[in-house]
Amino acid sequence: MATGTTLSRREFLVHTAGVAAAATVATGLASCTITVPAVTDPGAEAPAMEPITLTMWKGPHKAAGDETKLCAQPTLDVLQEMTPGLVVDFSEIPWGQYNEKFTAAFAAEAGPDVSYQTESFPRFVNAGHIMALDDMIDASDFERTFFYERAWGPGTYDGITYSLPWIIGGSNLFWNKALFEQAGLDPDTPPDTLEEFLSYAQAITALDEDIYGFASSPRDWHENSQWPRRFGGHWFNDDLTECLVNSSEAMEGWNFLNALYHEYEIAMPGAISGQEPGVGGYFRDDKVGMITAQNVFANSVRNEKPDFQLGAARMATGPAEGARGRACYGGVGMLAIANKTAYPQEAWTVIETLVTPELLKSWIGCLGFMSVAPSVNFYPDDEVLTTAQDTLQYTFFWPYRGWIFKFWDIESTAIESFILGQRSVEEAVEDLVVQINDMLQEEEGA
Amino acid sequence: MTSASMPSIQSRGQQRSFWQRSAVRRNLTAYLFILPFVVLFAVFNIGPFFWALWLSLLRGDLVAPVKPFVGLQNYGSLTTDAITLQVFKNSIQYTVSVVPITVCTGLALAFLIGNKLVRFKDFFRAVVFFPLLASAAATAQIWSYILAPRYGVLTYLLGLVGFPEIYWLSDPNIALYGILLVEWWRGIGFHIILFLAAMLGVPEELHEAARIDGATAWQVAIRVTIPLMRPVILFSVVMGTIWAFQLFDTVFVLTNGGPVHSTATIVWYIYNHAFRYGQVGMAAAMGVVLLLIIMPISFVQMRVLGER
Repeated sequence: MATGTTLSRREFLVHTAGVAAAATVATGLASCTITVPAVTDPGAEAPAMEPITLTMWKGPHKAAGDETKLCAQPTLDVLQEMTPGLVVDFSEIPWGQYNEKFTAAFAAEAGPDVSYQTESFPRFVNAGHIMALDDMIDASDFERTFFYERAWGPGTYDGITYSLPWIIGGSNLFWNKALFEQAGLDPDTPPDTLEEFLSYAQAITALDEDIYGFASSPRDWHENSQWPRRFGGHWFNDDLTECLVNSSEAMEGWNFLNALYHEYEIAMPGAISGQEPGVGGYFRDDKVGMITAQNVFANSVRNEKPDFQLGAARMATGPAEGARGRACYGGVGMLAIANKTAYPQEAWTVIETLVTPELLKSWIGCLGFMSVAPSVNFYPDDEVLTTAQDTLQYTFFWPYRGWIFKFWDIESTAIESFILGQRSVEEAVEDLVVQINDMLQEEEGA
Repeated sequence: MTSASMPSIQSRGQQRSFWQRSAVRRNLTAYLFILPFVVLFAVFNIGPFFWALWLSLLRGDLVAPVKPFVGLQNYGSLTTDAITLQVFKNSIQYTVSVVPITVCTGLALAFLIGNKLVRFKDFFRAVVFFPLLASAAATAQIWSYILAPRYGVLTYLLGLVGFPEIYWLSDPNIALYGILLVEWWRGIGFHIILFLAAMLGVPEELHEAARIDGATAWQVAIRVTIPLMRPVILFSVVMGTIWAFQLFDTVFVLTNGGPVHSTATIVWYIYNHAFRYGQVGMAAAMGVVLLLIIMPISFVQMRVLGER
């Protein structure tokens, strides 16, 4: 009968609601299940021609998308030819989201198979999300001496190696040769001592009321924090249990930095340099004579203004002996493998291949960084970048510890406060030391 | 049948009768319809709330497999951490500044756009709403150029009329107001659209009656229109307050809490603790405290609006 198949309005609503509810519950339950990639039985043969796809995350060192297009993908294409059957699914993770993406992914046990890691690396090592590499290194014919010896340090904890060095970078002095010339200085001779640095900066500042001899962003924790070192100070004791940056030597460095802004007035005011277009922009626009910046900056300024006359050298030396007198920021970026990867051996093959000279040059050389291997020079014909490679000997790495971001925030806020004239150097540094020591004690207690 | 079984049968009868009479049975269809929302709300709101409550009692990194239980220690640390006190102060200062400014200017602009003499109302309505549709991070980046000291458009325009250079984002004394300016620009459209809708709902006869009684345009607005818009104005105030306490994106992009923590807000600090400092317990504790601030405001909203 026809009436047997007709739904009343109420029945229709009940059925619809029932279906919707069931679908919602089912979807909710389905989304709660964890998709685990199939782990191959080590004893069984992999299906023929079935490519293995590994995920790889890295923070970009070029404008969004450019690193993938210009450096990463061409390199990965070569890698795929060298390692048939392996496909790398590469993603640029914006720096602004880097910590949250990695934190969320590792917390969900879904971190990328291969990742680029920097100073926050120990958080993931301590939590057991990163694979130790010593066995793989020993089982392969990989030569540890291929890299600068100290480049291994940041990825080694308690004697265990958790990453391969991949990128090394540092800061050096850059100067504007045109402004040097206008100020009557030799455009090819950078200042060698801080006395010369000061007198050069004064000559450039005298050129015009909106031109300055030197500039640094008040919140630049990498560059500003080198001044105590150049005067012989140390940030920490050897076992990283105490902050020492209020020693008399360190205070000389802080006071010198402060004087550049408030006594000699050769530094662009922090209220200006900290805002757009930033220190690099003002330098590019001939408003600043000298800056310290990471060596990749050379590529940026030359791309934006090809006729810019750029000089690069080690920083002028302070009273401290040796490399410390010319101290600049340095850092190592590393390749790591997730502990939960379903393909550890394949992931090792990927990172081992990425650090071969050809692929290092193709990716890291393309980015404008320095070579992490002393035997490989990415830019033999480029005077500026070859100089930058040489200045690596003056760079100091921050301790790679889980507290590094908090440390940088404390440090940059303290320095910013005296550069902006909100507090005296003494007040700012004393407060900084107390906060950092509290943080270190807290870490030790934890 | 034993006497002992009698109450059981009676009880079942009572239960059945209760079930038959219950609102759930009578409105089963309606409940089934809201079930999807309830499930999603439970999974994405209620569940995370209780998880955050639990996390606030733990210590350690979000990525760590084991986080020791520390009781209320995180809440205690909030009271002694100087930066925590500073971020709460900043958030309150920002909220009490931005809400009245946004609501008052929103009302004024709504009256202006709603004026009979103004043509192209739909165009203006769309224009004021556009900023809200754009990504907060992108607009903040654009504003960083507008507010820049040397080359900034605003600095240039103010310079033309004789203003000295203002360090909108790098002077600790005014940086919070630089943020306020950007957020005002982003959020004002929402309030204007609300107010315009409410103004249209005021019966025209009331305006006419007031005018016949000799009221000026100002008196009509103050004595007739605005009082009748009260529920919408209250909603606007409450939502504005909640959003002000949740300020994050613009601060993150424009100042990252600086200079010298003068623009650091509660949510900015929560983010840092959770994702940068590896102290998820502290972040969760701050989140709970933020909830305790926002909850009474929502309660006031429900009470006051419920009376209407």
